[in-house]
Amino acid sequence: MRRLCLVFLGLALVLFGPSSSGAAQDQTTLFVSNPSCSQRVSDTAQCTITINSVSVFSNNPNFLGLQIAINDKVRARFTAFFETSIAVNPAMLGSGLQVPCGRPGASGQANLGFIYNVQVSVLINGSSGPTDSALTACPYYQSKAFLPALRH
Amino acid sequence: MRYIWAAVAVGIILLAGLLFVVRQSATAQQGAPTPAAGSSGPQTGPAGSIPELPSSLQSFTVNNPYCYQPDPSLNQCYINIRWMQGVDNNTSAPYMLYLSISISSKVRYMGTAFFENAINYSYDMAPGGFKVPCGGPNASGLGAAYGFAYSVVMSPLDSSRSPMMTDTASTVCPAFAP
Repeated sequence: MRRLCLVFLGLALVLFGPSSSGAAQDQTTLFVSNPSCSQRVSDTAQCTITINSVSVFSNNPNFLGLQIAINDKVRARFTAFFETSIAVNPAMLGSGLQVPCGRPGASGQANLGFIYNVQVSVLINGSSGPTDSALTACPYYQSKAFLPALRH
Repeated sequence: MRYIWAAVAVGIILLAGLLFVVRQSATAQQGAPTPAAGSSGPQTGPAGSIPELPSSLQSFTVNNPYCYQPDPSLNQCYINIRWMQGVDNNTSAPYMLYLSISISSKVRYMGTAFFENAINYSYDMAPGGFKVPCGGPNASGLGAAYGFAYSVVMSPLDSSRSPMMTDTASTVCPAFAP
């Protein structure tokens, strides 16, 4: 009778016990390099934020994609429809994500313009995925005033 | 008397076994595929008599499309695809001659295979991407952060520009909210 009970217990464990593959499910990994802000032309108020490398790997069946937001404004969204991974390099975003540079001291530091919060989020349906955010400071833009030459 | 009954039982068992073996072999012969009349050898390629030829497309691999808004003060977004490749086996028709990208049913890219059996697309072949309107907040019903959702169709095409295969993905653009 004892042997019979052990046999049934073993069968129950095999049939209904935790599977070894369950531990490997729902893994999402996000790699983000730090963002940077550049002012390509010094006499314009336009700066560009770029991230050198972003990649995400997910085996979550609800994996939707990846998005990049600057100061809570979504600026890029990558769809995960066919794949379980997304890799982004700066050239994929053309000339980059443009932002106003800001006047000198706009962020409290005399030699810098605005500071932006760059947020990279993994989108997972029904739950919140991993998120990385970093602050990046932009060069300032010194506006110039051109007064018309007045002649009496 | 007991030996006679035992012999009869053994005989019945042997007869039943023989019948079972005969029935199994007959079933196996019925299930075996019969070759087409007048054919010899494998039925692959254009000369085969199979009514539906297998696709001559060896592989078709695409990355997901994406949409971004370079300047938030403009209602201009850009859709692009990181990488896409169609490979033809170059041995049987139909042959892949083109590779197209359509956005909302409008063809935006057409690659041609003239010398090679493969067409590759990389994001930098359309510098910056394909320009589309971003759309206002919640234009696609996916939330205030998003504008329009676009259907991106990627297809290898044969000589008559008919799709040999189609991959469709929906991509959502950031909202234009100045």
